[in-house]
Amino acid sequence: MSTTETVNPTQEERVAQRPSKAYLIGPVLALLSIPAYLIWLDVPRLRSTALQSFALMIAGTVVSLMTLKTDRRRRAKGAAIGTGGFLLLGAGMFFFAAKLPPPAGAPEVGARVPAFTLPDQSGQPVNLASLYQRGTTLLVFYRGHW
Amino acid sequence: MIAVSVDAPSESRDVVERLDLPFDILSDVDAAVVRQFGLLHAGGNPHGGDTTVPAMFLIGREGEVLWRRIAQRIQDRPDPREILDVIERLTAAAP
Repeated sequence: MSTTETVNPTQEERVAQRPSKAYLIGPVLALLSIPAYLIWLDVPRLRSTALQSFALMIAGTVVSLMTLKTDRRRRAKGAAIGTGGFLLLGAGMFFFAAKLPPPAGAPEVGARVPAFTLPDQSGQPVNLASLYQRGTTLLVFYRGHW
Repeated sequence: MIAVSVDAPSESRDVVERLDLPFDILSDVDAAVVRQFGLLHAGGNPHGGDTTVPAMFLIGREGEVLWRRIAQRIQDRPDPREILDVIERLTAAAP
């Protein structure tokens, strides 16, 4: 018998007695989806799809469910339910709460745009026709800043 | 390129200066033009009031719509590369 064989069991016993914190990995992964979304807000593809956030929420839910196989404590079950619920909430907010009203009579491709004149940031009136008559114009409506 | 929002001109001036934008921002404070374009998002401004559904129109010299993109969800943002591709394709076909 070597010394390592006599030492190892006691180490393992100590590890087994220590309450496992593994059940926290899933919720932490899922919560990271929020900063992951905010960090890449300027990347149109990630802003539009939130791929990175859904990947983290799904990974967190899978990890939580796997943890349940070895950890049957109530806190582990709570963590799994919370993580799965967070994924459903995130999907609900992303796909349904953020839905915009469908365009009502917006000019179709081929149709003429309505004429308008609006003040620019200096208060100078700008006529849309004066822009597109000079060349192809990209007109952008955005939600404003706040 | 020209942008439209429901912000006041002074707010838009801050945005143009802060981001050093090479284009102008027009102010449609009562959302009248937004309505004309069928893009009203009533009560869509978090501070209360109306705002616009995010949208882009590529307009030809006769005022005709060459291409458009209207957001279906608040977070929808078209990729600038896609817009540049569309502009290149359309202007190459009919300069």
